[in-house]
Amino acid sequence: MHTLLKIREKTNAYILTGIALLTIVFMFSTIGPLVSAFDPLLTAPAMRLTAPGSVHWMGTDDVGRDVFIRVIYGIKISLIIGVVVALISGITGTIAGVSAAYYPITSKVIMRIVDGIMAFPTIILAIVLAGILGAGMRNIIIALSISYFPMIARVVRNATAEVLATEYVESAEVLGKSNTYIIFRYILPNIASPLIVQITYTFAMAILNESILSFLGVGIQIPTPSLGGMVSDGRNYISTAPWIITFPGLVISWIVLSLDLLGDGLREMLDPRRRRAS
Amino acid sequence: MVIIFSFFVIHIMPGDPVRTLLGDRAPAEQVASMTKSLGLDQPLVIQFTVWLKNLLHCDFGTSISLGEPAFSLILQRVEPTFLLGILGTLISVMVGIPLGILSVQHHGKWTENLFTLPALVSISVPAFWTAILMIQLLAVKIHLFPVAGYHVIAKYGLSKALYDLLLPGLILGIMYCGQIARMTKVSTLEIMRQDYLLTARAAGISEGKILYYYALKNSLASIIVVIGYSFASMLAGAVVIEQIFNIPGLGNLTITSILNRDYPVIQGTLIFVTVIFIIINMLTDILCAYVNPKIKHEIE
Repeated sequence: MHTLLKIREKTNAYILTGIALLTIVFMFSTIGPLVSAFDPLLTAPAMRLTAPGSVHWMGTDDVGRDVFIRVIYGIKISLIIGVVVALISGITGTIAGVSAAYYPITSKVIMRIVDGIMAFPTIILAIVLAGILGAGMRNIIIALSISYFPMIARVVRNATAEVLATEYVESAEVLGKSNTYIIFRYILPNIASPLIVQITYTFAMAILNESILSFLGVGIQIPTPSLGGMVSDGRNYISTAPWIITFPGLVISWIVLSLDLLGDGLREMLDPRRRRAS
Repeated sequence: MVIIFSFFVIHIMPGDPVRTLLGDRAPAEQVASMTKSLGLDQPLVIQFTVWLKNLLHCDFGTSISLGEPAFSLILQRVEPTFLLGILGTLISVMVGIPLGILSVQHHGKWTENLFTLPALVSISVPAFWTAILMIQLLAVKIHLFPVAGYHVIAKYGLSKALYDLLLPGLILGIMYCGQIARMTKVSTLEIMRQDYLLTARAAGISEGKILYYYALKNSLASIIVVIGYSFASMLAGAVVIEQIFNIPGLGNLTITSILNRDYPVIQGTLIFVTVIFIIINMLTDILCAYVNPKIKHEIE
């Protein structure tokens, strides 16, 4: 009992830190536009490469745009992409995974596709897809969702197969309950924990990879602010104006770290096997 | 599957390689004749069969923008990427495994966070950002490493090439050591809970000996899997690092060919990297079966 409490405490610490860090980012991005008088796209050549100060809190970039407000908008775009990718790949992955576990015939087809996509290294696949589809937010979302849904499908399929093998599902089948009933009543609640954990990680990886895509020039296009793109823009000015790349990089790390913390905490809390054994 | 995907998806790509090559204002006849000479006017299915037939002879087609065979272009770029991957793997293993073991040793105590947090940070911080900062700090300011570029082994010798790749390798290693630490921790913890180790503990064998002598030996198989996996994914992760350090490797080739809409080269690199990826995963499995007779038994 004592160790169980200890684990609970520690787990909660991870989850709480993750949520706290995320909340700060979220507040930052909602309050930011209200308190800053600048426009993320407005250039002011006279003010170029100004160091952080009371007017420009994070300084200005090479064409005089305010870095603070651009970071704020960059966070918004990153979060939107992260959430949408996590949702799309979560939903498609769940549908694919459950139906693969449930119906043996579709299993062959779906798992072949999943294995096929997973044979490609994720980053390369995302870069190639984004390059093919063309830059822009919608296309990044599509590219990242295609890259991540197989992982979720695989997790869901394995979890579903485990649930399907239990006696209560068997007895429900014997009682003549419909497949839809079993899926919604038994399977989905029981696969929820691994699914939520995987979706949290997907959220984190989507944000990290969006920044990579934007950095490489196949993601969000200039002049729209994106955290990865800002790092790429600020590269040439690093010795004179290090603030241009420092802040966006810190923010990406912050967001991804808080999501990873959340994911780790959730995994430890929701995985009954690990909890019992420790 | 991989092959079909590589071909068709890339051809759905909007944007015309001929247009990119000749510029937007090229006369229509020139565009038409070039399209014809590249075989791009044939129906897709015919293009596919021709391409597939050539693929069996390791012929990925000819680069549209550089005019060289795609396969030889790829082969030229393999050396730095592989060397980078090996270096990165070595570094990440040297950092990641001790980090994982230490966090197992401190499992349940607050000191565990000292070892799990660095691992988490290494996963979360974008490598392209650390790379740029490190270049500025270690290469530009104090001249410890070269800023960018690569010297080919054949011409300049191995030591010069390695020196160029040291900093990129370090960054790649740091980027992946978190994953290795995490896997080491998970698999070792799993084994620490086995009944035979409970017996060992009951018999009064010290905790340290249990960890280093019994548990680690048994988690070796899963650690090898991680190392193999991370080497394979490093070849992919190198895309970004190569771009920043201006290393003429496979990743660099992928990006330029995407920007130039150079179909044969994109397809070629995609297939090449994926095949390598699969081969490494296979080798890892074989190695695993070798260190863990139980797996071998299961396969048989």
